[in-house]
Amino acid sequence: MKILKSHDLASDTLRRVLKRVYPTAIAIMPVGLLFGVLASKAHWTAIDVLLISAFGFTGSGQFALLPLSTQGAGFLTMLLVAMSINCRYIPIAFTTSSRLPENKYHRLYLGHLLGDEAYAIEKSSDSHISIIIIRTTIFIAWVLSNIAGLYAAQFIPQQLINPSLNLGIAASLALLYLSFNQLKNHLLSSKQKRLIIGLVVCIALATLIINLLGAVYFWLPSIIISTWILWKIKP
Amino acid sequence: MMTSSVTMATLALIATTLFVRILPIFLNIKINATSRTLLEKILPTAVFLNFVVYIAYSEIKSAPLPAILAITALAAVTFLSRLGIITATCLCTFIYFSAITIHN
Repeated sequence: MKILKSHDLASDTLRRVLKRVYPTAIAIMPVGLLFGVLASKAHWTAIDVLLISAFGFTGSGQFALLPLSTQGAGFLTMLLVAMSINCRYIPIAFTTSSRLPENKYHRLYLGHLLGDEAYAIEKSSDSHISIIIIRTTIFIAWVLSNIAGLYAAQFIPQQLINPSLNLGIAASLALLYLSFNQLKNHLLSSKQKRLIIGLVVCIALATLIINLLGAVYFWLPSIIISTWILWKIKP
Repeated sequence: MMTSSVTMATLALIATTLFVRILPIFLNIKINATSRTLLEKILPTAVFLNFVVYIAYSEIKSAPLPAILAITALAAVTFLSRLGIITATCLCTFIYFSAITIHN
C-alpha cells in the first residue's frame, strides 16, 4: 500500500513538473535545430555535435565557438569568449546551490545542467526530484534538437537556409516570458513603490552598460550594480 | 573522428562549465541571514532583470520594430493577463514575423 502511494506521488510529481517544463523545452528546439544545421554546414559530424551539446550545453557559447573553430581560433581565445558569455552563471549557480542534493555526483550532474531556462522555471521550494526533471528535460531537448538539426540539414535546400531568419525568437520570447513572470511575482510579493523605482533605475543602468560594454561583457558589472541598487532599496 | 578545432571548442566549453556552473556550487561558504536574503531574493531579481535587458537589446538590435512590437505585446500579456507560456510565445512570435513580413 505504502509502495503504491509513493509510486503515485512520484508519477504525480513527474506529471506536474513536466507540465511546467515542456513548453520551454519545445521553445528552445528551433534554436537547437539551427545550431545543428549550422554545424552541418561547417562539416561537423554527429559525434562532434553530440559531444559539444552534451558537455558544452550552452546555446550562446556553442553559437559563438562554431565560427571561431572553423576560423582556426586557439583554445585560449575560445575559452575567453565562452567564459565572457557564460559568466552570468556564476551568480546563478551560487543562488541555486542550496536547492541541490548533498550527494556530490548529483551536484556535479545538476550543476552542469544549469541553464537560463531551467533557472527561470525552478522555484526555491522545488524538491530535488523536480529540479532533476526540469534540468534533464531541457538538456535532452537541447541535445536531441542539435543532432536532429544536423541530420535535417541534409534535406534542406541551401537557398532556404537564410541566416537572417531569426529562428531563435521563440526561445528568446519564452525566456522573456519566464523572466517577466519572476519579476511580476517579486513585485506582487512586495508591492512597494521604491522597488518599482529601483527596477526602473536598474533597467536604465543595465541598458546603458550593455550599450557601453556590449552584450558579451555587460553581464557581471550589470548584475553587480543591479544587486547593489536592489539591496539599498530593500524594505 | 573529431577535428582538432572542434575538440578545442568542446574542451573550452567543458572548462567554462567547470568554472562558471560547477565550481560555485562546490564552494563551501558559510552564509548568514543577510547574505541569504541577498542570494535568494535580491540576486535572482537582478539576474532576471538583466535577462530582460539582454534579450530586448539583442532582438531590437537585429530587427527593431518587430522586436519592440513582440516584446511590448509579451510584457502586456504577462503582466495583464493569465495566458500561459505557449500561447503567449506563439502569439508574440506571430506578431514578430507578421511585422517582419509587412516591414519587408
